[in-house]
Amino acid sequence: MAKTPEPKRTISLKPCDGDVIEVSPMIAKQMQTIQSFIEDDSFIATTTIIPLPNVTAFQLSKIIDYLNYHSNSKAVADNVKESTKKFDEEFLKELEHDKLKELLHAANYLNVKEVLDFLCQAVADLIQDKSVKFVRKFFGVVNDYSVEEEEDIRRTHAWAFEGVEED
Amino acid sequence: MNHIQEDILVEILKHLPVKTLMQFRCVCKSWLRLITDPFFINTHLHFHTNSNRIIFPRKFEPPLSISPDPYLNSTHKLNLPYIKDFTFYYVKGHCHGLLCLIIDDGTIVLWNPSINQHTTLPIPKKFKKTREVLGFGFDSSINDYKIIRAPSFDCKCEVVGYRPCVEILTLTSNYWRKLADEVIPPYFIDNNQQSVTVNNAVYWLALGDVSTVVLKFNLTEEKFAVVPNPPDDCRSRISWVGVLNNSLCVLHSNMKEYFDIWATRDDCNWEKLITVSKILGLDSLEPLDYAPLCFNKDGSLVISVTGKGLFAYDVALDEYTMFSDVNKVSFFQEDAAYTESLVSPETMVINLNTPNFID
Repeated sequence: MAKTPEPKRTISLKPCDGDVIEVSPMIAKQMQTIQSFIEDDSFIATTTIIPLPNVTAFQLSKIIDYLNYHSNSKAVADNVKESTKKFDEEFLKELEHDKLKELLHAANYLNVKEVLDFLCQAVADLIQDKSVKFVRKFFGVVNDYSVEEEEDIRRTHAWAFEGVEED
Repeated sequence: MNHIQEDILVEILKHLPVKTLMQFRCVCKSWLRLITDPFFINTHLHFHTNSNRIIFPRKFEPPLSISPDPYLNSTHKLNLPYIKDFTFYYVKGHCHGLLCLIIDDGTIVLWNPSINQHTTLPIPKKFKKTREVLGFGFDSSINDYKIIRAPSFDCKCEVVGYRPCVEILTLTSNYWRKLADEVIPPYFIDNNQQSVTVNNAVYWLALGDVSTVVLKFNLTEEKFAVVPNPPDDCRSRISWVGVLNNSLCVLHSNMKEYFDIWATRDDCNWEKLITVSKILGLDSLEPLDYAPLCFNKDGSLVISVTGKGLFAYDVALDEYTMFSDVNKVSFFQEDAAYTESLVSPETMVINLNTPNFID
């Protein structure tokens, strides 16, 4: 493709707690929030640094890692699928519960669908076999049922609680 | 930063199976509201179109719910207050996880076994439960479920004072509305099979002029039509109609050692989906004995074989693996793969009136 060469090929992002991180336009485009910055008339690729007050350097680099890996491995071959699975597992292994939740918020703020979908699935997998108590703690939810109300729901749907261990 | 926004929460919770979500109603009041919200229920339903369980009706006994995944080995007895031991009941169709049943006292029940909720429908006038068929489906043009009552093959036998008629019940209206006199099925419907539904229509098998045909009832236009048979080169006949991979499918067979499954998306052009060997050495060559139920995630086809059990058929290896020896004794083909959903028959009328419920 014949294109006029651009003077600067990366987008500069400034997380709240670290140095500027440069990303390719291809990666930046997948973050809707960044994309709307870029589309704004006042945006000048050479000089503008996009501030991200809600995103830490750790979160930003995790998200960029994920997008980089997945945009390079779109093939469907079995061995690629296998290594993608491995990458995803390693990616999650480094995240404690709090970090996982914070990353979810960051992905939501940057509006990056691919990462958001992946993290939502990861959280769903994490809580699927857990007790109600665990889920309350995980999401920081306060139980606003009275003892009777909660008992009532548990009794009405007793079958749903069969085989579930309470902690 | 513990608080999760509700839109993210929806994205997380939609991944979870129905049983887990039933437990998580206990988390707090706002979770209960979210999990019972029609918008969430609809999102969840369309995210889990392949979460199937098999309903397996039994003679004189409550039905079983069986996972089609051969490795899960999950079977449990379903409880519906209307079905006690020695009760006859008929599964007449299913849609969005709701089963439509006729109990032998004439009660018509809509039942979602995944959330253990049911509701009863008004009984139509002069209802001859076994002589009639019901069709059950969703009309997305009005976001409402419809149940149609039509005469079956059995209506050929005259009963004094009984005139077959076609009526329709729209769930939110909750009464039976008679259709114009000219809206009658061109052929009598086979009442041994349940109705199947896809794309705003219900389908049954009917006895045509020379062979079995697929009869369609368009739920939006409320009209009958005959679906042309798949191209036939060896005098095959249709012995089963159903939905696989969201397409209308028929089982096309003769007394040979195999059968073909044809699929159509437009009720006109057929494509051969797969050819399946019958189980050799088990003297099961009768096409009526085979009912494909659904495809598993690994690509295997779940087939119910009368008198034998439930099998996962490996398409590539042409091999059957039995995963449940439940025995179908009746000639009614009523076992089917239904979706696990949160759709509540009890609160349906309220839910459907909210603008969020879009198919």
